[in-house]
Amino acid sequence: MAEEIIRIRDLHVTFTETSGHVYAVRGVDLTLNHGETLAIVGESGSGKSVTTKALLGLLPTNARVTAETLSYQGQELQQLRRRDYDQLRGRELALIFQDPLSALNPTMRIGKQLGEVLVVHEHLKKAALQARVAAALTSVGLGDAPELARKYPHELSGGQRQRVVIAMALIAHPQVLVADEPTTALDVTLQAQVLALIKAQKTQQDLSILFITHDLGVVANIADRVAIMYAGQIVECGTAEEIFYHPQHPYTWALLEAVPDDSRADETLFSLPGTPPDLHQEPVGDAFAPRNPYALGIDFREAPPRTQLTATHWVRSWLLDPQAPAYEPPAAIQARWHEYAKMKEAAHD
Amino acid sequence: MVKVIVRRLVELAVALFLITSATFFLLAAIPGDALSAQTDNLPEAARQRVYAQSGLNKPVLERYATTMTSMLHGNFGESIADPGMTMSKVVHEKLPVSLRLGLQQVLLGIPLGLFFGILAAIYKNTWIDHTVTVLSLLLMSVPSLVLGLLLQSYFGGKLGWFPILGWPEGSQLWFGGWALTILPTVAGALTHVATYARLLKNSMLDILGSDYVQTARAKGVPEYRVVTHHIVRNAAIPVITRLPMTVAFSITGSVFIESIFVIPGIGQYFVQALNNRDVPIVMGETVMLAALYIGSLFLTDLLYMAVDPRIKLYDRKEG
Ligand SMILES: Nc1ncnc2c1ncn2[C@@H]1O[C@H](COP(=O)(O)OP(=O)(O)OP(=O)(O)O)[C@@H](O)[C@H]1O
Ligand SMILES: [Mg+2]
Repeated sequence: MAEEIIRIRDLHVTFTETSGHVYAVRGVDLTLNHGETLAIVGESGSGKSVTTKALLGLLPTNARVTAETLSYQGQELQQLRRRDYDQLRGRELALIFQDPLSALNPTMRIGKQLGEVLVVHEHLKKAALQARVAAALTSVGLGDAPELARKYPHELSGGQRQRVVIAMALIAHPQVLVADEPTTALDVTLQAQVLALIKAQKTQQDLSILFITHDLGVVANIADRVAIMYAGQIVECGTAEEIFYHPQHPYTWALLEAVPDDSRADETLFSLPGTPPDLHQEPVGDAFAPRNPYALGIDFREAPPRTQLTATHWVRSWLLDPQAPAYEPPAAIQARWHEYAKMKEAAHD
Repeated sequence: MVKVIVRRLVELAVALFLITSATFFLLAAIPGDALSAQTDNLPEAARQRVYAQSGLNKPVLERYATTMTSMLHGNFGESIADPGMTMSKVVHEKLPVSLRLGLQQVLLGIPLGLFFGILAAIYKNTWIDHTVTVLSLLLMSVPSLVLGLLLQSYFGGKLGWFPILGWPEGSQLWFGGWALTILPTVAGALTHVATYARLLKNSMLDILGSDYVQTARAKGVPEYRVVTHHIVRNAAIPVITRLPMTVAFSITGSVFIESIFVIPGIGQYFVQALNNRDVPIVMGETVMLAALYIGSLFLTDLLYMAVDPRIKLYDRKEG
């Protein structure tokens, strides 16, 4: 069994607003093993960013965070003092934010923003600092590093900014990289380049990656394991193979059906009808039920338990209950199951 | 950079020319002139003598030409209504009064405003924030004239804590005689408190919630450094770039306050000169005020370029 580097159990995040509470994350379980890439996939508002911010202790003061476990390499992060958290962030756990333009300070030179990580963690100065900054910029494929280091964010192109943000996250050689939709703001060619870059850095630096996206097409390209998130919960989690070829949750089916056939990244995201629930109230039963053509009566009353299918694959769905009536997944999904059965057979032979 | 300055100076000259010309002809168009009050009861012959002496009997265009040429030489002439008064005397006797009043208002008002702005931003959505917001809206909507009258009648009249009228003179022109200056200073400063509290609160909130502040925290930057290196510098941009205009306004804009507290500054004297159709003084003060404003606009540009790298008012090709 691989070494667990991040362990999250029963994470809840509730925001208090003047209008009431927002139940953004409702019992998330996640494990990130050493050296793997785990993708978290879900619609906008499903709580992906909130989960990662909870992990890094970056939530605002109106957020209440509770968890049975929230740990990094066995070290419990809840109630960690601010100073100790600062020691972890940037050096052990690095984060790439969603939007590379707004994630950079508009009035600080690129070199200074990168160097700041090393100033606070390694107390580097002048020449040594400059050398490391230049090396980091070069390693993400940005030429003429000294020139670039003197520029301001608005003087760079979108692709350059995304590379800068990645270089900044990796400059102190962290153990874990949390990438929050690092490709969403980019066009298709740039997306591919950035993914290739992250993969290359992963092997070079022995990283474990938590990769957030709402694009399953991207996931196929990079993830070892996939967690599907809906309305603040993980509804299905498994290896990439299990999620793509043996999916069990109707929400996962819907996501897979929305991916274009040639699995090319595309502008259109989910064509699933309906909208996610309003999290101002805690949903009763299965939050996905109102949009789920396979919903059972019990889905509207009681939240489904977690069903473990293999050592790596689990699902939250009443369909897997022994008492559930028989059902037929959509044809495209059945085709995938078929594929999966063949692959398993081939593996046996 | 040199080109920028040259261009601004050319703009300044053109603006001054237009403003002074407009002022001159507007004054000429109003019935009556600087001498009408003194001469209306004189016999015709005597009247004409007085007019001939001052040059006011000449045709408008000729007077315009004379005035503009002598102004070009830096000579604004002597006051007609207030004999013996010249622009150089205005600069030496009246300007310091307005300068001190304006600077005192700024020095009292802006730091207080910034303080309340920071408080309101940090304690957002608490009673502190709400109080600051309501008070600043109130203060911004009440004219300083009304504030001045209220302060005057309450603290000066009813409580009798401060003198009601006047301004320190002679050796106390720049320093001292504080009691006289307190009410007019506060009356003008309150507007600055309100403006700057709002300004800083809004820009702090923008920046506190911004992604790059989160990025800094995600990098492991300690909170004090996040504040000093990321928040303050960016939140200060709108404040710093607004300073020159505030100072210019404070110096020139205290007309009402100078009037109700009978403070012998340039604002009050300008109003008096206008009432008297005192062309030399009106023209001289117009040039002085316009130069102050245009100068502060220029300073604003420079400050923008200095503090915000995104702003390139004059890029290299052009400037
Ligand atoms: N500071 C906050 N205060 C109140 N509610 C918040 C706050 N931050 C996030 N939320 C709410 O939490 C929920 C989850 O948000 P989150 O940003 O995690 O979504 P996401 O899955 O990252 O979506 P996206 O794909 O759009 O980034 C949303 O309903 C959002 O409105
Ligand atoms: Mg997000």
